[in-house]
Parts: sequence; structure tokens; C-alpha cells
Amino acid sequence: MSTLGQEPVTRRRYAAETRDANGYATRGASTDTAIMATGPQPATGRDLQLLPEGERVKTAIKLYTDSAVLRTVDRATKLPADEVIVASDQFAGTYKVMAIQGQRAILPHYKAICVEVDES
Amino acid sequence: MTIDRDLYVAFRTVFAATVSRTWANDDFIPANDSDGGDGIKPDPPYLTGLTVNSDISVGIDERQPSADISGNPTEIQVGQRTSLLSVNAFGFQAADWLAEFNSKIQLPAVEARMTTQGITVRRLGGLRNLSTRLDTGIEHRYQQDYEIDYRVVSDTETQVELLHVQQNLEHDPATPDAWPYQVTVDL
Repeated sequence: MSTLGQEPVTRRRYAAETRDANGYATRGASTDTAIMATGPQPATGRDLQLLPEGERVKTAIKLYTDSAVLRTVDRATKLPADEVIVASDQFAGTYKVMAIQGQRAILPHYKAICVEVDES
Repeated sequence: MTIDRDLYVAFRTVFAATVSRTWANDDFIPANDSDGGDGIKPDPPYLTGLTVNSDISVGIDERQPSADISGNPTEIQVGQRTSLLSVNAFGFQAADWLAEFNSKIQLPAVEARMTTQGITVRRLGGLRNLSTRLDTGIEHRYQQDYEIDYRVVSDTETQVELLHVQQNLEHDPATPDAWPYQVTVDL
């Protein structure tokens, strides 16, 4: 049994950052994978409260998945957060996974809150 | 490369060679760089460096013509600058690194390293304890500011060649009262 309305979404996962002898970071290589998730929905005000203060004013979406196929930044392992690429519709763009909530009741699923990545 | 980055790198190089320990790459990192990634923080102890301001003129810049004025004379603009670099230490041990550097800053070996990097480092104020209580614990954080002086040299510009003017005062015995000037302009 799976969540209704799922469609393929591109997940961009980065390898761990490395730092050079001057302490500057180099982003790890990325790998794009198609995952199944519900179509992006706008994040609600309550969803935005999960985000750090500076991230609440960006465009935010939420996705539902059946399994833990997305990850947030992990300081312990130094692995960066996944990005989700929405190809088309009004949410088209690249989003970073900022928070994940796992739900175990009745129909286990995961809710991922994602914010639009700055062009920098 | 920007001047902010150059100053940070020069300071970090001097600092790392002065404090007696083996440095890992993420023990001293720029505060404002993540290469577009998440900028994941290392575990304490670690240092962050940030060039807060730069390009502050010290005195007035000067124009320096090249010594050779006969061939293709050139000119450069040379000036002295100062800047402010703020170092934050996260963790008790990182604060000790700052204290150790401060205690050695005037030693000849350290000054030689500064000369190699083209900078002069001066402490600005003391070591400030900015430790604070967070939701999940206490963050042990210290801050030390440094003034960093450096020299800037402009690109070389072709200098307008000076005219060669020769002026002679001549005396003719046949006309002893006349002292005509003979002016020669060499183009």
C-alpha cells in the first residue's frame, strides 16, 4: 500500500564535503536518482515553523514518500542534505530538504519540508 | 581570489605555522564559505576566520615612476592598507590556540612568516568570551580581532615620456655684454 498521487521526482544526493589545506570546502559529487513522492504541495505555516529562522521566508514545499529516501544534513557524518528537483508546474525549481517527519500510524510515510535553493 | 580571501589565507598560514599542533583542514575554516553546500560545522574545537573589512588606506598612495626614463618609462601606484580579521574559537581548546598565537606574535620567526605572506598582524583588543546558553547546552565561544596591514601595488601603466630640455648660457668674448640663452628641446 502506498501514498496516493505519487510521481517520479529527481533526488540529487551529494557526497560528503571535503576541505582543502586553507579550510575551504569543496562540494562532493552529486548523483541524480528518480524517487517516488507525492507531487509538491505548498508548505503550511506550521510546516514553516520547523525551519530555521532564516529559511522561513523562502519558497517552501512538502513532499510525502513511502520510505526514508530523502535525508537532511547530518553533522555527525558530514553528509549534506538532499536536493529535490521539481521539473515543471508552479513549483519548478531546486529545493533542499530541511526537515523530515516520519509517521508510523496506520499508513507509514515520511513528510519532507524543502526550501528553494538560492542561486549562488 | 578576492582580497578578503587572500587576507584570510595569509593569516591562516601564519597562524597554523605558529601554534604548536598538527592541523586538520577543518580545524580552521573560513566563516563564510561552503562552496554552495551546507557548510557543515566541524566538531569543536575549531576556529573560523572572517575578513570583516579591508582596503582601509593608511596615509596617501604614491605614484612611483620606473627608474628607466629613456626606454619605455612606466608608473605604478603603491599604497599601504589595513584590514580587520575576526577569529572565532569554538571550544576551550581553540581558545588556547588563540592565546598561544597571541603570546608569540612578536617573535622573529613569526614576523618572518608574516613577511613571507606580505602582511603584518597586530592584535586588536583582548580575547572575548562570547560563550552563551543554547537550547540544548552551552556553546563555548571566544573571539579575537586582528588588524592586518598589507601593501597594494597597481598594474603598471606606461608613463608619458618627459621632454629633454637643455638650456645653455653662452658668452661670446666679441660681445661681452651679451649672455644669450641657447635652448634645445630633444623630442
